[in-house]
Amino acid sequence: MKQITIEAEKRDSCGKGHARQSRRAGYLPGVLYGKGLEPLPLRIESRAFLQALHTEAGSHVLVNLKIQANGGSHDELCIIKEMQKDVFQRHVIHVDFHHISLKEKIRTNVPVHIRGEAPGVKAGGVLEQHYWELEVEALPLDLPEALDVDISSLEIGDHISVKDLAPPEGTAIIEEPDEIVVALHAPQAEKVEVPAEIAPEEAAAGEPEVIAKGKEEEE
Amino acid sequence: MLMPKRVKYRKIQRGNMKGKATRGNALSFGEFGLQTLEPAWITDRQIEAARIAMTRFIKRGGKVWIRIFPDKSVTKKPAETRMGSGKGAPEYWVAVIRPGRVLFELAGVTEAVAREAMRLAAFKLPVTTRFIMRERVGGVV
Repeated sequence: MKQITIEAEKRDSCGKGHARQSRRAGYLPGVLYGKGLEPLPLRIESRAFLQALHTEAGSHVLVNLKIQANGGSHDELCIIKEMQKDVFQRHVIHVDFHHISLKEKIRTNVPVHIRGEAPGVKAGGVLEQHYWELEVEALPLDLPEALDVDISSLEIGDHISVKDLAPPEGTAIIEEPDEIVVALHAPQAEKVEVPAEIAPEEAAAGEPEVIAKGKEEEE
Repeated sequence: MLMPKRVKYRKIQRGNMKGKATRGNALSFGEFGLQTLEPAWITDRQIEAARIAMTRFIKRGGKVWIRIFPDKSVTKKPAETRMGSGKGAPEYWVAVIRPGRVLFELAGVTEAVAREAMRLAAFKLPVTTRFIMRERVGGVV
């Protein structure tokens, strides 16, 4: 897994007012926590943070945090546990760093990359990816950047399950072995997933059944 | 048309549409999506029209997910009726959506096809929308 360095400084103020102030000043509020660590509020320069994450691996990286606190500076190795994003404007508003040890196995999500071209797709099949990320367990330095799924032999009706994947040595996939990662379906014209279909007789009536509880509805 | 199978109450109050969508605001199933930028009531007919516009364009291939469901009844009094005599009869069903809500998702098509399909679907909706897609990390084929 790729390793990047991010500079951060200890944040003395907490709460949404201070968080908003620091965002306006170009800083991103964050927190560092982990086993045997007191949670430490941080602030990171927004631009530097986004640039650091602008690699091929995206946010799936090991982060070497250079923390400036109390006049000194120290390093902490961590992973990005969670990035809170604004729903609407889609920019990062808060980041959680999880402290890790290089000697202890960690569980994290790794993206699933599809490789190759399936003959079934050329024949008109529809490739459906059920998992975009898979949870894996490994030592931090053994963590793969992504799990590759080769679909070059996939025909219509075939699927690839978790047990068919070959993770790198030292990495274990946590998901159930029978879970389907990628499936290739036959094309169906104008067929959609509808959450709840209504029965024809109810559609004719025009109104759904009322869950009766004592009193009966009039009309 | 989409509507619930069973309901607890036939008629419900209007409620409000304050705030942003806190759930259903990210892609869950497909690769591309249509996200609303405004709050609105989207009717069962509008959902159906948008779905048909989308599936007609993508023809065979691709898969569509509808991420909203019209579970709220809207009542209406008959025309030329005097006021009073209680609330009107349920007329149609709506889905209450708030800004940020993902309305439809699409997979199994190219980005260009998905964009066009979503553009056509957006014409059928009473809200401004935007096209969203998964952030591709690394080299996805």
